[in-house]
Amino acid sequence: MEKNCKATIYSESPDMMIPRRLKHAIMPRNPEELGTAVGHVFFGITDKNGVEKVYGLHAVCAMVGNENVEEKDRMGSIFSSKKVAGAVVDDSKEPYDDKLVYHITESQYKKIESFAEAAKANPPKYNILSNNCVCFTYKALKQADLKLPPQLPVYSPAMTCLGIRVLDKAQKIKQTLGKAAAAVLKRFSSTRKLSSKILDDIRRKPSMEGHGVSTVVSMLKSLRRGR
Amino acid sequence: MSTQEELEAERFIHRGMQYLKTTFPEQTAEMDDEVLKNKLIDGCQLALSHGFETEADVMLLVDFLWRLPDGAAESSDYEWMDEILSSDDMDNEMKIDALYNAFAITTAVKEDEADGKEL
Repeated sequence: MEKNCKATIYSESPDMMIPRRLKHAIMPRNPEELGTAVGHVFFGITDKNGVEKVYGLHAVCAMVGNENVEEKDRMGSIFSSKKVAGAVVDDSKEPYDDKLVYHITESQYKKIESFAEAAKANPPKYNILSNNCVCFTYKALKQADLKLPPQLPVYSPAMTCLGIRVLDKAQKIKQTLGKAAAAVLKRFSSTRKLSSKILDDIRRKPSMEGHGVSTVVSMLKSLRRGR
Repeated sequence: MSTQEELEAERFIHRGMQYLKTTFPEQTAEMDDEVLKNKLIDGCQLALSHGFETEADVMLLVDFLWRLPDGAAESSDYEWMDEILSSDDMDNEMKIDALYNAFAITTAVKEDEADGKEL
């Protein structure tokens, strides 16, 4: 099938990840927005006619002008496990510093679009650690089975920036690891369990034993006595 | 007399040593079999202590550990390893994937920095 559509990951770097020499040249950003400090990740899908729709997940309470939300929807600490009201909005005016473009088929486009539109109509809860803007972007693009930049368990804009910036090298390293994993899975049982105690016994058991002449003589003597 | 389980574990150690010799010929060239066996068992015990149970899961972690530079376990550059292995929220498959991701990113960043590239 023809890859006549696109999916794009956009990443607004946390301030500290913008190289000093480029600070004067970046897209203007609102210092009041949470994303300016911690970064923000969102995505776009472009149809075969070149029209792009851009989606991003935000915590409602973190959107400028929404400071007076109900207590239940205030985030509290940035490390809070609390889930607050989320909103999927058009992020086409959001600034970004890095982007990664995938050429996709119309069928892949539709899968992502359907996920994004459903989330827009019925927004997921937002949590800064477990369901943030990066998680949402990754979930959406996984609908099309895209190979996404590597991430650590707490998905973050910072890691997405790094993942995009070192994408080629990181993908090659992951390929090598993937081949190693395949070799291991081919050679070793995925059902047989190991025991820590038995491994310790094997450690104590030497692979070779050297017996000198005096040991052999005493062994023979004890054997003769035993007859 | 060895039990079936002991015999299987011995065979596993033998195959594990062969695997390490084939996969990491330079690192294993200077090691005698006793040292190699104990190093393999050390890796297996670490894997078991973090909830890896099967031969394959244990060897996935052992293989990964052998790819790290010497002293990585004590280096602050690799603190992420302990954080991932100690996580209660991830199963073994997720832990291995997270370790691979972290290793890929940190290694790529280091290589780029060594090349003088500003990230």
